[in-house]
Amino acid sequence: MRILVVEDEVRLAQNLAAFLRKPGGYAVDVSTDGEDGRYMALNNPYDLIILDLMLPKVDGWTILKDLRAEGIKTAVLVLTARDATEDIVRGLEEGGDDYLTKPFEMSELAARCKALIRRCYDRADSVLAVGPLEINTASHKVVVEGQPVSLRAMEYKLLEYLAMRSGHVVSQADITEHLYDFESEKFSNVIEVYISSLRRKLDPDGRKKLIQTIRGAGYVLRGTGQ
Amino acid sequence: MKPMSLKWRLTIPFGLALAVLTAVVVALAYDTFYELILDQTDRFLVSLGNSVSTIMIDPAFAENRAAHMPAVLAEDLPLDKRRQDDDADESPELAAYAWFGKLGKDAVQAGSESCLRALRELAREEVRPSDGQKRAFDATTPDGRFRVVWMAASVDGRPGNILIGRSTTALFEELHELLWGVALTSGIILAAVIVLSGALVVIGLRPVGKTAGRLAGVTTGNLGTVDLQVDTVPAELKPFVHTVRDMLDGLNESIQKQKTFVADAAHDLRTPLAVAKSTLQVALATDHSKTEYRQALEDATDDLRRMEHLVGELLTLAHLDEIDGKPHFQDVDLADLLRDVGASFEKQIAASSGELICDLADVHIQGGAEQLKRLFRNMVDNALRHGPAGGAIHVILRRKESMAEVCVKDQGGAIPPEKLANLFDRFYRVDASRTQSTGGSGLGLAIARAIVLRHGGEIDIQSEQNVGTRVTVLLPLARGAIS
Repeated sequence: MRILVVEDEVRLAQNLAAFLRKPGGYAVDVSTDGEDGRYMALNNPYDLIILDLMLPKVDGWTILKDLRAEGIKTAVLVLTARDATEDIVRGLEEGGDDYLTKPFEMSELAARCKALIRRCYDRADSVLAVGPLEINTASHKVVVEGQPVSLRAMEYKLLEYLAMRSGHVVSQADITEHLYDFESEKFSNVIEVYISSLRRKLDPDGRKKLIQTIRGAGYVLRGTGQ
Repeated sequence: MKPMSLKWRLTIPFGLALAVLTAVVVALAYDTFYELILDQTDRFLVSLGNSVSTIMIDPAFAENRAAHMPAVLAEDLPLDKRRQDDDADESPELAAYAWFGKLGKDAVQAGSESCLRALRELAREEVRPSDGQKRAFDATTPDGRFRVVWMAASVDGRPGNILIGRSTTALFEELHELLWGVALTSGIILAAVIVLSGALVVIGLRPVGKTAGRLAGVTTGNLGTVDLQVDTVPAELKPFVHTVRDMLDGLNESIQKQKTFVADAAHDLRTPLAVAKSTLQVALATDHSKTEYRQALEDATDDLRRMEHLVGELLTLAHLDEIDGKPHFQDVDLADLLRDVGASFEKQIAASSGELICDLADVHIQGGAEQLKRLFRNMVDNALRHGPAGGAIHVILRRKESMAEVCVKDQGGAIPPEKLANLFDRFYRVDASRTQSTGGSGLGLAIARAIVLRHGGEIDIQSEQNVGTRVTVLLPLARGAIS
């Protein structure tokens, strides 16, 4: 899952990025001015945008309006020091999905991010169940047929993304765009490596065929019997 | 005491005036009618008296004067004939009493007994009018009221007297009845008028009630949006509604300003707080090296310092806003004070390899030394932050008539003219993002202006491309030189 943080207080932006990038967390891009932030929001498939309102060059209201005008449905969490009710109402009415005032608790922000992203993939439960597979997005615990499976951070992120879109074919490009930010190094064969290691860990004897490869298209996560 | 309602305040004086007027009219009418009745009665009595005098003087009647008298009384009654037509029972009691010489001798008398009693008594008690004269009397006896005319004349050297009287009880009773009727009618009209005028007052005051209703609908929430409908208000109420509207507008403006100020203050306090909090939470979230922890603590301390500075400035402003928080004024050597301020910036200026050039005349003013120091420090600080690194800052002190002029110039970029006027607003920043990258709280110039106003002076800012920005302060030399 990939998040864009548009926040002009450089240190706050960095702190947000650091917290959200925790192992098993998110890919995070940071922009510290409105113009740059709007460009990034319009041109990358983010799963969530954390948006400050008072920004240099282009303010948050304008970015929100432009995003919605372009038909981009990405969830937007407005993060601002403006706590007047009219500001909150305006923020939500102009296309924001959530509103958090500064100062805030990092853990609360992270939980809101998680809930917003879950909603975007039409998931109400924080536990993603795909056939014999259960992924607890709160504790990052993965269980297959009642047996816990230990995954590395990147493996977890990949599995969570595939599970969010279970039943759909996910291309390599999708995976790269949603799991890596501009700061990470991307190699497409790394994904293949993670896929095969996931298959090994989730389905050691190869009977369940949870992750299938669709030649020329990508991967799909399915429960057995599908 | 509870103030009287407007309705009564208008109705009572109006009612009283009307009542007095009615009373006067009734009294005048009474007086006029009274005089009229007496006058007519007197004339009638005199004409009767003349007839009686014929009987008394004419030798043709000498045989039996007393026998002719009743005929005279009965015949010559033009007034009473009319009355008899109307009301047969109420013919007036008439009497005549006449004599020559001494009272009681050869008196000729005729008429009703009660009237005669009154005439005899009057003849005894009253003084005879002189010859050829007549006098009219009002007599009140147990039998009623009588009007009597005494006519006196001498015939052949013998003093003659004729007293003619008639009862007036019925006449006055009728007059009183009439007047009571008038008074009663007036009273009813008066009461009706009072009730009506009260109602008119209430109707007339209805626009006041409506306006009050609209005013009552004004709350802090809809202030500035309520239409008081000044055009629908009667002309008499317009000044009042205008005043209230202007007052509400002023109030709205200051509430909006206050709201903006509070929102800005909250924003600017929350931001460093959010940064500090996030820094510490990120540091606590996972394990870090000693250097990383140290960095986090240092960063958080910086944020706290920023907040501390802002809180300080807010308190200074609040203090300056206090209406009676007058600073202690004393003689201040401005050149000395400006040198001190300059010295406190030495390190900072050296660090940016800039230059502070002072041109200070010897000027003393009456003022608060601490506040003035703060004012000049804010001005120099502003110049430092907005001027280019390594640029020169000029501080000039001059005397200008009865004012001291302090000018701080930097070589910074031009500020757009439309934004110059706003620079003294609290939290105003040329860039709308409110970033604190230049390190200012956004209150420096607002504080400067508040201090200048406290000293009865003026502050002005000018900015020009390639020349720089110049802040000029004018302060009166003596306290009260400018009100």
